[in-house]
Amino acid sequence: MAKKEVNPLIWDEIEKCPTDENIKSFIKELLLFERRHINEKSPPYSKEYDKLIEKYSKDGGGNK
Amino acid sequence: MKIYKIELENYRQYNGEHTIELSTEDAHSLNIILGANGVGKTNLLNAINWCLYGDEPSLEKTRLELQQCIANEKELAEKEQVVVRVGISIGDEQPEYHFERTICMGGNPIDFEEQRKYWRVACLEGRNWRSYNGVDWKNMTQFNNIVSEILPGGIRSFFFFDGERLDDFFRKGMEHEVKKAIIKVCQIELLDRCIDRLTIKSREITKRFTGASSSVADINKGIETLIQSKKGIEQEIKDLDRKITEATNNKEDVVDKLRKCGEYNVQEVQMERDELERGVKGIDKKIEVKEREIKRHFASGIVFIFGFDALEKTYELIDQRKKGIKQPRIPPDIRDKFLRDLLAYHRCICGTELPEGSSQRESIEKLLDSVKFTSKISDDADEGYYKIANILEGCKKFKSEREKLEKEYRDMHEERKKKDQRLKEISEKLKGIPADEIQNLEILRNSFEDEIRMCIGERSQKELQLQNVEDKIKIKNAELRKEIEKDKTQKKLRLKLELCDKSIEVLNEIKEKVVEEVREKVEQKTKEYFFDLHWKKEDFKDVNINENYEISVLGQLGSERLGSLSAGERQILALSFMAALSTVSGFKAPVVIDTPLGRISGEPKEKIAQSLPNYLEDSQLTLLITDQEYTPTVRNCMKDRVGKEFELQYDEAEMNTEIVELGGDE
Repeated sequence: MAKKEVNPLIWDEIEKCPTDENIKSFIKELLLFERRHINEKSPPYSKEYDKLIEKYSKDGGGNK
Repeated sequence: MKIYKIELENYRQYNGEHTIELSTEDAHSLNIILGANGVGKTNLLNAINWCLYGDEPSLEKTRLELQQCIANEKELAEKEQVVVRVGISIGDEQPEYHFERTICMGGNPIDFEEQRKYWRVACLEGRNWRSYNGVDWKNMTQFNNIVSEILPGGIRSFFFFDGERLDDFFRKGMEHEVKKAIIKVCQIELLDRCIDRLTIKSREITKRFTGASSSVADINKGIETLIQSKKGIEQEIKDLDRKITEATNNKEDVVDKLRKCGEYNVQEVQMERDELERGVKGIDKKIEVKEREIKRHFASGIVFIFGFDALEKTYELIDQRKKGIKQPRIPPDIRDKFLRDLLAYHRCICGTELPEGSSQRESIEKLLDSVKFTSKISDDADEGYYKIANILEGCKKFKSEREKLEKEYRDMHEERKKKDQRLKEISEKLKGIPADEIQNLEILRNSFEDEIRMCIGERSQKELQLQNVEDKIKIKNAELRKEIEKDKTQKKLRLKLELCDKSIEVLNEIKEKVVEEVREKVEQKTKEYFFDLHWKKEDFKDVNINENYEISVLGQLGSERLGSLSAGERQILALSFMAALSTVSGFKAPVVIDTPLGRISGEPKEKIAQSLPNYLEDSQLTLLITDQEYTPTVRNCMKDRVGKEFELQYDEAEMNTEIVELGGDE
């Protein structure tokens, strides 16, 4: 899904945020998932979140 | 987002099938629909609302009452059963959604539940249309969800704009809806969802540490209990919020009825009460600010408050000794420094030698013993004397500043008391009017107000409880993190937990910044447009939008003017707000305005005609307009942006309105 589909204000704020790139990428992926399922009251988020947490915590999580 | 097409079938005065294809070209996205009063302009706006939201906000009817009056009368008289249908195609670059709502009238009455099967939404997915027919609640939810995503109902009155319902804008209770809708159009709910889900995941991960040590298990158990208690309190707060909203709406409905009451000067009295209530709200805010100011001031001068008496006494004592009123005098007659110098030089100032062991030297050493203590005190007292003088000066300033703040605070309370008194008198006056209806309305209003007050009080207590539980959770979480840190065996889980915790922190920071940025920009743009459009800008000083999206318009002397704005001015404020929202959020709703210039006269009309399409340059704008509004000058101002012009022509014999597209130069 294209970046433009999440409000640019949010996207810009993530870019500006003085945190490491690993966290930024993780948050972006979460937002894109939520954006895709914005119309669903209870999307099947659990597996997707587990997958992303697994992926981004491999190389040191928030300490990269 | 643009409206490509509106289809009407037997909807009110639109007998048979009618289609309007609006202009969607970016450079010419202004559509004009011209019509005399009563030919169906407002009903076109009603049709859009009915199709998308299932109601018509301009009519205070229930859904069932509404269904009974939206069919074309002639058709209903002639046929046993009439299909009423409104379809709207919407999209950005092309029609991406087609919404359709249909009901059957006449013949056997169809109950409301049965109507669901006639609701339909079609979405373009790839190259194919996917259609959801309203056969069950799931699909109806789909319909509502899609509408709420692309054109949120909460702020529809800012893009489907009814000139006759201007008083609804910025009315009490509306700000909550506006805030909710802004959070939606700015996608802040995406951040909320991520935070909520990561919090759940973080809890799941910490629970997996249970086996590591018994203290971890105990802390986890404690947290779980606290979380349950938190959930309970949150639910109670939600229930109270719902009660407050209901009671506020009910009170507002009662007040509306009182406002419309033509007898016994009720209208005037209600208007005075509206003004007083606005005043009370303003004073309450000022009192809150003043309380904070007093607290800050108190904290900054705490030393003055508790030390003043002691400092003043010290100053007085030193002063008396310095002046010789009290003994021993300071400084003493002979300073120790002089005596020390004599002993160091072994010679007195009279020339007498002072060798070691001499009787003269011993005399001076004795003298030194007797003054050295008072000399030291004297030096310290001297230094302290000037320091204390400065502090006492600060004390006096602090005291006078405190008196000033307290006086302002008392005056505010006095003003509020007077307004409260007047509000009570008004209520008694209304209750004393010899008309049952008015008395009952007043009693009802007071009971709603009591309910609101009670719920607000209860809510504050619950919020304190919630804060308390949240603090306890934080402490427990910190304990848990420490314990987890000790356990070096589960590195992977620790990394996951760190990732979740850090991300929640970052998401909260981002949310706070985005919410504030949106509010600031909406405020700034609303103000800019309002001052640009207003014909008497010198009467106003500022337009503010607070964190709850309550709007205030300040006059030159700083007084609240929102309640006394004319209909035309309110229209301008609403237009400015909508344009600001559109600019800031990137949310480009198609704007449809009924009688846009109806309440504005003369020159300002042309100014608005010229400026409005510019503010909404990225939005499709459709104006439902009368001849009186669409003067040659106005038309000339708009001509560069106009894509299509239509005229509504009513045929009385056929009870039908035809939609005729006009040629470019007509």
